[in-house]
Amino acid sequence: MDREKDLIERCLRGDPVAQKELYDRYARRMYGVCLRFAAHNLQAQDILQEGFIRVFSKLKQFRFKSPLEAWIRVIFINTAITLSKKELRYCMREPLTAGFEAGSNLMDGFMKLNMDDMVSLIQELPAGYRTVFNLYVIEGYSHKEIGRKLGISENTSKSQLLGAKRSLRKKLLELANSDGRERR
Amino acid sequence: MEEKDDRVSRQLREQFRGFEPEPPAGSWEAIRRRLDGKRAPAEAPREVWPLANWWQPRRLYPALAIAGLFLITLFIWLAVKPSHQIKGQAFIDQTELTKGTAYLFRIHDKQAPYDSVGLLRKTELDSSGHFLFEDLPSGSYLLRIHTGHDEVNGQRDLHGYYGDQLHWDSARLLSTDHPQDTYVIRIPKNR
Repeated sequence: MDREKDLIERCLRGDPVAQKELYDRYARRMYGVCLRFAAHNLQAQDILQEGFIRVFSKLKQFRFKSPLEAWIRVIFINTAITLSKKELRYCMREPLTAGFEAGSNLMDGFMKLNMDDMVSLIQELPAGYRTVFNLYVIEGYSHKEIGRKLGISENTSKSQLLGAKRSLRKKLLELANSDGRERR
Repeated sequence: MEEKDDRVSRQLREQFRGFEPEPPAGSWEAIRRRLDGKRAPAEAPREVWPLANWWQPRRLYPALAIAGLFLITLFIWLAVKPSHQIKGQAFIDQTELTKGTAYLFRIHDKQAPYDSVGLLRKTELDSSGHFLFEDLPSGSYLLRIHTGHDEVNGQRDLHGYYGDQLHWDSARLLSTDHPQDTYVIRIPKNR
């Protein structure tokens, strides 16, 4: 904790060595977050850069009430949401028919994939599905929190999540079919 | 169903926690450039006093280098600085010259003809025949005295070289490596 505090203080003084150290410590983990929230790798790079710029400029607001990593992660999630706001606004306007089956085996099948494939499937989702899926399933936000964060209703959040799951199931089925065809 | 979703979410969260892909090369450099760009205007007003934080290596080392260079230049200049002098007195036989001019030639080769030797300086003798050349570079010199004409003291237009010689090629050289306190030069009166 003391080392972390020292690192933050050095960053606040503008010490480039400390800034690089902080980057090295969190870049890989945060790039993982960026890849999940982005539609493609280039967008993930943009989020990574913008996220770190925001981290360094907001660092003086860090009050040591939560772990630094959690604080940085929130900044990255907010950055990702801000950078895809246009896309999100468009996607959230699409009304979804609630009540369809997401499929109970969907997530089990999803989890059997390797990480790169999982990330690719998530990236292929429309911005709204992708963001809500990331926030709800992976980051553990509630629909109420997601609604507040994205400026949508709880029900919209729920329907976006169902849409994400439906879309993922479709993609997983396509993957399974193409695998089967290859085996034959 | 919800319970199952929670379990799956937890597992997925765990799985993604270990997902640490390598960021693309050059990401940090791009961030660094943007940070530098942002910081530049904020740093400028801090330079109120140019010598602030002088002990920091980025300021101290160049300052030390400049000071060292200055000292080296000073030592070299002091070492080669013209600092020799030649002084003496001119006579005709035993009588001090009351009027005349002393000429100093810098010479590198005694065998070189007189007209190839450049005149370095000349100075007027005082009323008792004294002359002085200051701030001379080290080397060998040829000294010539021209008496001038002085009817009152019975002086005629005569000349001679150090070593009491009439001609340059038999004159003695003066060297700053073996300086004398006073050089005496006598010009023969009766030729």
